[in-house]
Parts: sequence; C-alpha cells; structure tokens
Amino acid sequence: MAEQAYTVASDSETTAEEKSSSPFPEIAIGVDIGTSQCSVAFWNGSQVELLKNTRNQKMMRSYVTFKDETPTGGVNNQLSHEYEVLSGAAIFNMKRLIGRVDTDPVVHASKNLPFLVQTLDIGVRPFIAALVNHMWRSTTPEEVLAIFLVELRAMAEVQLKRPVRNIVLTIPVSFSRFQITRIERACAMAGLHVLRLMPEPTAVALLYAQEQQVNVHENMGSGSEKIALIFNMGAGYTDVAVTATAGGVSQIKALAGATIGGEDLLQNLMHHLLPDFDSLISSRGINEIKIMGLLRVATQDAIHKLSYEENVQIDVDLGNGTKICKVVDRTEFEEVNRAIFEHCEKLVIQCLNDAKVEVGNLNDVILVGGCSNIPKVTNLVKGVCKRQELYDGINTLEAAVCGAALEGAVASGISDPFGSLDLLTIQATPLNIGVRADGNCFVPIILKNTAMPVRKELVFTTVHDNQPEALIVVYEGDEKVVEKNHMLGYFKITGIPPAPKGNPEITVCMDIDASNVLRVLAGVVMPGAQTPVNPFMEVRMPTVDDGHGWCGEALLRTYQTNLDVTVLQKNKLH
Amino acid sequence: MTSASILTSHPLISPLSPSFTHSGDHRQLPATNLRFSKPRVTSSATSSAEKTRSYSTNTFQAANTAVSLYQILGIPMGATGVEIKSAYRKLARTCHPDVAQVKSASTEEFIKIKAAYSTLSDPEKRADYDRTIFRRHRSVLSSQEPAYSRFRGSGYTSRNWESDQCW
Repeated sequence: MAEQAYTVASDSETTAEEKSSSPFPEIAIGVDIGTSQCSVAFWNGSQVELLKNTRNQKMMRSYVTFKDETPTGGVNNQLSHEYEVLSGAAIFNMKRLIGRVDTDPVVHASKNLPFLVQTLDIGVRPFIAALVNHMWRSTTPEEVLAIFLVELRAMAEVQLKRPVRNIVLTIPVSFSRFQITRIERACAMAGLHVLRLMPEPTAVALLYAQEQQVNVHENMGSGSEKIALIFNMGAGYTDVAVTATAGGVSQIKALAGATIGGEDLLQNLMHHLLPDFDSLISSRGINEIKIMGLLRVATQDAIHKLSYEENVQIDVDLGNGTKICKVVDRTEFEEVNRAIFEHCEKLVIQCLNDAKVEVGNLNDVILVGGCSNIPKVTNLVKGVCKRQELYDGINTLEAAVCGAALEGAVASGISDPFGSLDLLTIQATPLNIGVRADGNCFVPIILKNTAMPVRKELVFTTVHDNQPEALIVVYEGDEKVVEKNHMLGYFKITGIPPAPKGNPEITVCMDIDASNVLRVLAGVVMPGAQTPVNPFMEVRMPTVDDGHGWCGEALLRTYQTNLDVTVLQKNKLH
Repeated sequence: MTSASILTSHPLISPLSPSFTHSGDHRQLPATNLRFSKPRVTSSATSSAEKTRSYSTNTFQAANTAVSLYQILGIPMGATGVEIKSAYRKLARTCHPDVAQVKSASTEEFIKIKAAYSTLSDPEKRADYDRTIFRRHRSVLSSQEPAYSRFRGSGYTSRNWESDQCW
C-alpha cells in the first residue's frame, strides 16, 4: 500500500496524442522544496508561471501526514487546524534532516520537532517516526520527500496536461554531495529525473539576469556587467551568492551557505520562553508532543508579528499547568538570536571576499527567502553591503522557483522568439573537492567557486619505497584536516612497480560536468613510460553511503600511512 | 572502460580537439590573428609574429601544436578587458553544455574557453602568459615534456597552452 504511493503512473514514453497536445513536452519544471514551504513553476511558452494547488495556493506547506493508511502531503491536504501538523502524525523539516547522520548538531536540534527523531550518536542515519494510532511508525526523510514529490508531480501533470518527468530542483548551497544523492534518491522514488540541481541563490541570479536582459535590450553576451549579491534566508538554510551578469549570462562568482534559518530563530525563542523546554519534553509522550506543538505555533506567530510590530504578547497554555504569558520585544528577539544574525553577516562578508568584490562595486543587493521580512535580516544585509536600498524588482518567496523554471526551459533546449530565454547560468562549485594526502591533510584539486563544468588534475606520488598500492580518498569541504570534511569515496591504485618513494606519478583527475556529476579518474605512470602501468580507474562519486565518518577511521586504523600519497613536488613548479 | 578511452576523453590529452578544427567559431580565427592592432603587452609583438608564421605554414598543424588563449577566445592579443569578457560571454552562450547544440564536444570546449578567460582576464596571469608565449617559441626544441603528456598522448605527444594553464 505504501509502495503504491511512490509511483504516479510513470509514462514518460506516452502516447502520441499526449505529446502532440503540448508543443514542448519535455520542458523541465522548476521545483523549490523549502524547509517550510514549497512551490512549482513552469515555462508556459512566453513566461514563467507558478502552479496553484486545488486550494488556490502557490506556496504549499512542506509536510507529510501519516494519519491514515496512505500518507498525505501538504500539497492538497486540507488541514483542519495548524495544530494537526503538530500532533505527532506529521513529518516536516525533511530538508534539514535529509542526508545527515545522528552525530550532526542539526539532527540534534531537530529533536525538538513534534515527531520522533532518535539518535544513537554513532554516525548513522537518525531514526525518524510519525505517531500513527498511538504507535511510532518509522520513516526516512527520503521517503517523506518522495511522498511529497509524488503529490507535487500529480498536481503538475493534471494542470499541465502532460507527463512530468524532468525537474530542476533548488538546493541549499551548503548541501554536501552526499545530501544531493539523497535528494536525487527521493526524486527517483517519485519517478522524477533531476535535470539540474540549482543552489537557491543561483536560481535567483538567473531570474535577475533575465530581468536585466528585459530592461536593457542589448546583444547577447555584451553590454555592461552588473554585479549583484543575493542573500537568501529561509526556514532551514541561509545562502549567499555574488553573481556577475551581462547579456543574459549569469556567472556565479562565489557562493557561501550555512544550515541556519528561521527554524533556529524559532528554536532559540522557544528555549528563551521556556528554559526547561528540553527536560520537559524528554519523555516524548503524547502530552509532550502536544506541548512542543503548542509552543511552536505560539512562537512562530510571535516571530511573524515581530516583523511588523515592536513587541508582541505571547499567551499560551501548555496544558500541563505551565502557562507562558510574556511580552517579547524586537530587541529581545534579536538578542536571543544574536549568534544567528552574526553568522549571517559572516556569510555575506565571506562571499564578497571570495568573489573579490568590494561593496562599492555591487550594482544590486537582492534579499529573498522566508526570513527576508525580519527587520534585523534586512538591516544586517544593508549594513554589510553599505547601502540604503535593496533591489525591489523580485518577489522574495517566488524568485528561486521562477529561476529554477527558467533553467528548466533553458536546459531543456527551449528557445523563445522574443529572447526571454537567451539566458545561461555558469555555476560555480560551492566547496573544495580534493583528496587525502600526507596523513590527514586535505589537498584540494578543484577549488571552491570554480566555474562548472570543470576538469582539474594533480599529480601525487608514493610516500614509502616500493609502495605497491596507493589509497585515493576523496573529500569535499573547506577544512584543512580531512576529518572535518565530507568523505565522498575512496579506491585503491594497485600494481605500482617497485620504485623509490616520490618516483611513481599518480595522476588524480577530477571532472564535474554541467549537470554536476563528479567523476574521479586516477592511475599511475612511471617516469619515462609512455603508458600507464594499469588501466586508469574512473569512479563516479559519491560512493559512500551512511557512516562516512566510520570509513575514514576504519581506513586509518587498517592501513595507517601504508597506502598514503603526497603531492608530487613538480606540480608546484608549474 | 579501457584506459585508452579514458585518456582520449581527456581534454588535456587530446592535442587536436575536434572543437578547434570543426567549430565554425574558431575557423574564422586566422583572419583576426593576422591583423593584430595596438600591441599592449610587451612581448606581444614578437610572439604574434611567431604565431603568425607557424599559423600560415599549416593551419592544421598550428591548431595541433599551439592554439593560443587569444585564438580560443577569438580576440586579438591587444584586446581590452571588456573585449575579453564580452568574447567569453558570447562563446559561453554558444558553447556551454546547457545551451550548446552539439552536447558531446561542448564540455571540453567550454573548459578551454573558461581556462583561456580566467588567464586573460587577470592582468598578472595575462602578462605571465604573454611572456610564456615568447619564451616557448624560443625554446621549443629544448622544452622538457611534462610527465603527463608521456602517457596521455596515445600517439600525440604535444602539449598545448590550456594544459599548461591547469597547473
């Protein structure tokens, strides 16, 4: 029964009748699955249009309720009351949970959500469950996301009157490649093919590029360059991008992102209102779930009001004898969340530095996302960028999904007679990708903020005399020490002929194509030889599943430095 | 997958990329190449003369051995920063895999264009590069082959400028 829910009649190879009904049967639609809300947009032949659900909503709540036999998502489901989402039967915030292990602080923070998140703190996936008929029914973030995507897909197919298979999905900048594979897995479960994954601010950048193109009728690729900073703060993630735009081409100069967002603001304020919150809910009975739900709704309302009012009265009866009756003003709210706002500032500064752009050279500053109404967020972005006004030509909640829909049309090869699709995003890598060398050092091969597609290589060598094998361990991240980065996979180069250390040349080549697929190629060649000793290895990464922390430790324990590599010095001469 | 196919699929390996011999954009290049105006960089006069000579002997061979970054972007050596940027964007609009008509070759082509652009758009790197052109043409016989070209050539042993830029 549950399995049926994953398969919307998948007929991408459908009848000629259906194909002829639409001039562009294969245009990918844009999907923005937010931590809290989600939306779908498509290219209608002349412009981008947002889909509405049966209740005429463009923004749909991202959650799935496991109330009855068949789970239902927030696409069409009519909630009797906000509290129903908080009854323990609904799973939400899956975007914060997907692809994370139970040692992750984000997973630990999610234990405050009104459903079951259980951790064992050993680096495996957390146990997640919904309350169904007084039983905790287990599920996974992938499953929840897939159920939700099936509903979205069904909705889109009905309205577009054609099968929908290809999508362009927006993702946070800080997603690791492992998290991306989990997202792709969820899409595959829902019968969807991910044509492109766009970091959210780059989707906004594409929309901005189109707006600039419309404003100034100029030739492709020419015209004056505009540099924009895009700040996107949603419920789960905050992302920053700096883009250089001219003639419809948006070149991403730098990206920065972190797992902070409205959810953190909410949790901090909840803990401020009820300091013994964590101990109060530790037993996770039905009453505790209700307390969590009540407090969550009250706090959420208060934060929304604080965007427009200086102070707000919070009155909530948690039903266990605890009543919260408190006036919270804006300053208090900002003080409680000071660390979050400082982190946001840091991201903006880092992104500007990485892009090598001075604030004076910014043509526009664009603020989007669910948190863009919060006065403190507006002020901090204005403050760092030293400007009075923000770009106002963009809808803060719809920009990302509209950009994704544009990319969907462009990447599907659609052209527009009026030039509205003469657009291109040149994406950049959000994180360094490299290998482990000299023990636990991370040696980047593709640096972050490199334009994609890209191919880079570096030559390594052995660290022991007559070393027969070399271990290539691939990581992604910004840290100098490998353990702090995400492991993507590993493989062994074998059959290295006996030679003094530093002699064999182990070439590691990394390749990312336009759809962001990473391949690692490696092989060994002896000095003076014309051909590699053995066939090169080609590995599509990531290959590791759960517990990547374990793999690194196990490899170190088993092989110590026996199979280590080091950078061949002659690289540095070039 | 065999080693041969890995190697030939590598852009740094194949000295004679199909994109350079078959693409319409690049075919128009020789003309630009012959009329260099306002040499702004010190070594450009010499090196452009060198290049013109090698180009005129045999276009095919020239493309094989020494396609300059300027040729990749289709601009004269004296091009201004704005011209370089604009040439890059125009090429990206046709060569980027998202928009290219022929998907197969476009990734390699775009990587080359991007490498050329990132060198030429940085004044320091560009000056270094211009000096390299000058040096290389003098020491073309004595140049040591880098390690990678020995096994990657699968018959071809030449280097090209893009590969040098990747280091």
